[in-house]
Amino acid sequence: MIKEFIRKRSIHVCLVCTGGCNGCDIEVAALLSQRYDLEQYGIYYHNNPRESDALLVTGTVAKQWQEKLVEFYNKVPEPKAVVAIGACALSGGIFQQESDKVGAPVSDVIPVDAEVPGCPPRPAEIAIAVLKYVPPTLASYRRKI
Amino acid sequence: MSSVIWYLYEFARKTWIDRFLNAKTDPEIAEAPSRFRDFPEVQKDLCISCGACVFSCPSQGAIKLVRDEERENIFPVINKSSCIRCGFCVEVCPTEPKTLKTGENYLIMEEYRILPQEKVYIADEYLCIRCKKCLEACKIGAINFKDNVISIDQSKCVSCGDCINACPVKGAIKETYIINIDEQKEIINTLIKSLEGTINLEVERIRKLPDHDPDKIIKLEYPLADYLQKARNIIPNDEMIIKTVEKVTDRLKMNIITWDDEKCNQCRLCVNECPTGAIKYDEKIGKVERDPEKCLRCTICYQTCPFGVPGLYVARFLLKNNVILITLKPSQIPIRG
Repeated sequence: MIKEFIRKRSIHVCLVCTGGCNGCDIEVAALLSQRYDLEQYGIYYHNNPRESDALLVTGTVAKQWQEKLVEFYNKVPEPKAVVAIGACALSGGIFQQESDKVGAPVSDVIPVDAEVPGCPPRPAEIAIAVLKYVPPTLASYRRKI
Repeated sequence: MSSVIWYLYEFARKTWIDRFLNAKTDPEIAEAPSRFRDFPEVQKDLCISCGACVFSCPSQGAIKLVRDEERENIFPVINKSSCIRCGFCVEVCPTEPKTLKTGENYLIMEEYRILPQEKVYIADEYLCIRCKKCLEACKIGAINFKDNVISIDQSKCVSCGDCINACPVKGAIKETYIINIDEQKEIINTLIKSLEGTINLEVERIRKLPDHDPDKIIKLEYPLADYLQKARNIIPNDEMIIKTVEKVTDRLKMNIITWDDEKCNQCRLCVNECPTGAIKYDEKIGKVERDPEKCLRCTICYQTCPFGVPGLYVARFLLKNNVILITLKPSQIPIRG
C-alpha cells in the first residue's frame, strides 16, 4: 500500500525515440526546463529503462526499432506504463506509408496505456497525460501468484 | 522574545505554508493561448462537401469525408491521431463562415485598400530570392524590405506592373485580377470542363497504362483556339483570359478516375464508403454504377476496391505557345484493401 502511494507521487519516465523528426523529444526536453519544471509534479526523467516506471515513446517505430522496442519494454520493471507521444507514434503521421520500414502505430508493437496526439503536442499536454493516466495504470497492477 | 517567535511564525505561514498547501500551476503554462492552432472543429451543417480540405491535407488519413445517413449531409471528420495541426484545411475552406475552425491565423488578415484597381500585386515570400530589383523598379516606393522579407504596401500600390517586369523569378510577384471575379470563375470552369472532355476521349488508352509504373506516361495536346472563342464570349479581355489560363495550368493537378465494369464482382464495398453517394447499387440490374457528375475525385473508392475497378491517374498541365500540354501518369497513392 505504501508502495502504491509512493508510486503515484514519483513517476520515473524513460524517453525512447524510435525514428521521427525529434520534434516531440524537444517538447519533452522543454518539460525539463524552468518554465514547465517537470520535477515539481513528481515526474523524474531517466535514460535507463531499468529504473523507470513509464516509457514515453515517440517516433514512427522504424524497422530497426521494431524488435529493440520490445526488448526495451521487457527491461522496464513491473508495474509499467507506456505513453505514445505525437502523430508519428499514433499513426505514422507524415511518414505513414505502405511498407515494412514504418512500424507505427506503437500499439502494434507494445501495449500502450495513453496516447497524446499532435505534431508535436504541447509540453503541457504531455505532462497532463503522464499525470492523469500513468498512476491508475501503475495502481491497477496486481502481482501474478 | 515571544514577539520575535510570533513574527517568524507569521513569516513562515505567509511565505511557505500557504503556498505549499495551495500549490497551483500557472494557468499561462497549462492553458494554450487563444491564437494556438488546435485540432480543427467541424460545423457539420455549413459543409458544402467540396473536398478541398482533404486535398490540402499533407498528412495521410488525417481528414476524411463521411456521409451522414440521417441528414443526407457530407462533412469532414478529423482523425486526431494523424492530424498535424497545420491548419491548411481551415485556410482552404471556402464556406462563409468556415466549416472548419481553429486558432486565428494572423498571416492571412485582410488589408485596407484606398485606390480602385483592377489588379493586385503580392510578393511570394518563398519564391523571392531577395535580389531587390523590384525595390529599384518601383517609382512610388510601395515595396518594403524588412526582416529579410519583401512586401508590397497595398495602400500605396498603383498597379503599374513595373515590379513584375523587373522580377527575374517567375511567380515571385503574383499578379491577380480583382475585378470580374464571377467571369473569371466561369472561364476557369469552362477550361476545366473542356480539358476533362479532351482527356475522357482517350479513356481506352489511359486504362491500358500499367499501374504503379511511374515511367509510363501519356502525352496529350489541347490547342487553345476553340477555347479562346468561347472565353471571349464570356469576357472580351484576351490578356485576362491568357493570364488566368496560365495560372490554372501552373497549379492544376487533376485526378482522373476510370471505371472498369468488367473487373467488378458486385461486392458493394465502395457503395458505403463513397461520401457523396455517387456510387450506387442498382438492385434491379444487380450492378454497381458510378455517376461521374456527383463524383468528388476523393479516391476513396480507388483505395477501397479489392478488384481494381476504379483506376486513378493524375493529369498535369503546361501552357506553351497557345497549346496546353497534358501529361497523364498513374497515381502513386497506395491501394488499401
